[in-house]
Amino acid sequence: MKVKEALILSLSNIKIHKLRSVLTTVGIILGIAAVIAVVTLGASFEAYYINQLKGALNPTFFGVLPGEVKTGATEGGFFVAETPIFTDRDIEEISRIDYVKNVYPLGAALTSPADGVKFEDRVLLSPFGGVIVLTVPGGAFGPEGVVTVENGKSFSNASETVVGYGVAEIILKQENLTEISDVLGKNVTVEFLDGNTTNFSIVGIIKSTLGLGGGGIFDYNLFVDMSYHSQLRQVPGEEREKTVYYMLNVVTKEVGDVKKAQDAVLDYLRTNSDAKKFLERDAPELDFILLSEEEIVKLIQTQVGQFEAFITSIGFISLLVGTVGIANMMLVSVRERTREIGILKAFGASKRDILQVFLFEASLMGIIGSLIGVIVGIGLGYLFTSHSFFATTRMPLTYKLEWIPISVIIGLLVGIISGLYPAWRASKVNPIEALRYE
Amino acid sequence: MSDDSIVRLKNVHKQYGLKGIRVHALKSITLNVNDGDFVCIAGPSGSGKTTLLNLMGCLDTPTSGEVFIQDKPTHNMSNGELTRVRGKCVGFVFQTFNLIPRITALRNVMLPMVFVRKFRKSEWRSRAEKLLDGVGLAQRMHHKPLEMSGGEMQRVAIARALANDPLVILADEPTGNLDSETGKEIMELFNDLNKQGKTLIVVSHDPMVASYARKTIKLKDGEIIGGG
Repeated sequence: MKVKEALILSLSNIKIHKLRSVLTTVGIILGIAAVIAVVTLGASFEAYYINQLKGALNPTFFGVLPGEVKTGATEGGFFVAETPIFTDRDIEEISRIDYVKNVYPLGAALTSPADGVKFEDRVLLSPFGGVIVLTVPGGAFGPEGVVTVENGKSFSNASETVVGYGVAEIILKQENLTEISDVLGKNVTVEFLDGNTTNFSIVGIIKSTLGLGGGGIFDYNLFVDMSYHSQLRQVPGEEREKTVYYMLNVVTKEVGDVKKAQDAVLDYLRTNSDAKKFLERDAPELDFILLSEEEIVKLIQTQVGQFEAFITSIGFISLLVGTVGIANMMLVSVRERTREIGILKAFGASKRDILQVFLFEASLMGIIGSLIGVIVGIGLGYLFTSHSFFATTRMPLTYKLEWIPISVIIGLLVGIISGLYPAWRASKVNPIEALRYE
Repeated sequence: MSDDSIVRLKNVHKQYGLKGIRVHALKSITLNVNDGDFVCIAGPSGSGKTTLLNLMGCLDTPTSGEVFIQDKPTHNMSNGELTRVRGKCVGFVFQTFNLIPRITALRNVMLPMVFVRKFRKSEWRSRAEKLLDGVGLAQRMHHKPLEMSGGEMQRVAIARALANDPLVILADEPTGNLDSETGKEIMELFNDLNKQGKTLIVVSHDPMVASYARKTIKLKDGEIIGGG
């Protein structure tokens, strides 16, 4: 049997039963579309996010926090404890490590819970609630710092502030400004917990880093001078109270030093640090988490990967349903065309020829279904990326082109698997009975 | 036997087992059809005509006895072997035409060539066109069966039966679904084919059909009661 003749027989049958054929392939269409859409969304998200992150974070930087890296089922996830445990002694010790260039502690200003940060008498709200005021040495925004200030500069005195991209965007919208840089020079008011109110002039805006679930790292933060940080704790086993910080931002001399510096920092923290004394007393199950740009990227990729794997597995269930659907339709078709099989056999068609005709038809359905699925999937991927909940700005669509041939091969396999039994049944038809069949 | 023999049956019996009851469809049939013959197998329904046709057409094998197609024994052949002999040596014409309705007349005629490979692929189309022209359907070859009259469909079926230039054409009640006028036209066509040298075996209980045949074999209750 020549492919062309099988194609004519099969296509003419599919054409006659257009609606039935389309309905039969719905399972495959949905399965492939789901996988393609999610893969497209994942790829777009990953490409966009990682690009943003790479442009914003200093590659020689890594953060140090108390917390717990989760392994096993939720591999790649981590839990960060918001507890101030790092002291100035810890900072000094870490600064002395060979590969370390700078250490910037991260503190927080205690603001009024009700109306902490206001712009023009309106409380600034982030998707997560209020805007948190963090304190950091001004150098953290410099050329040897942690994050890049895209617009403006770092603060140089206690009445200036650097804001996250999300904060700048809120003000931009509220004031109907055109450029994000127009936000520079505007004043925000911070009411501290002790009742004092201070005006800060916005002098810098951090590049957005766009994170999972709505905002980038530091997108909804206000950064002010270290002098606003005043948290004191008594280190266990010591008499005097010391200033404590939530997080340490370590900048190494070279990108290649990050790993070695992390080992040395971890070694110090786990043996001799004040931070360790706090952890041992308050939360002995916790350890230290050291996050570099590379690790954050890896974390995002793992999370995107998990999401993709979840939807993909749903897609495969749909493909399974699709396989049963095609098999069922092919069985009906074999029955309907019993007489046709008899005719073909009377004119010399062998078992193998008949097997080929029906397998070919099932494969064709699989391939057509998968092709429609690819188109639907890319369309859905486009919708997801253009109306994304994740991105503050529009994500560019990133295709994973290798999924198109993969989809077609999957469609072909589904077709062959679903066609095997019906085709075998067709090949076994007795021509004498088939010719008598009405 | 003679060198001219195309289909030869020797003491052929055919029994069917239907729910434990044995039906003796053919009893001790011996007959010979020579090259160029035009034979009519006549008899009332249930006389075993179609069973006989199935045996001669290599669709079936006998319970006992011998069947030869051009002196080649087919009674012990496997299904696969039967299929090959059938495709190459036999052309069928049916009462209900049995065309594939979805594809054009031309494609219907080409189909047996696709399976049998007696002719080269490059010849398929021109050969099918020539055969359709021969049955007077040169203008209708790109139509589908459903757009045709009964007579036209049977002409397509005859062209299809000739596709692989078979040794014999077996027609089962070829006029049974046609009005008498059209039936005669079809028989005239068979007559022309026979004059060109084709061997024809036609099964029918219609005396008009029998009148065209050179020889009539009468069947009753699975036995030959006349002719032969």
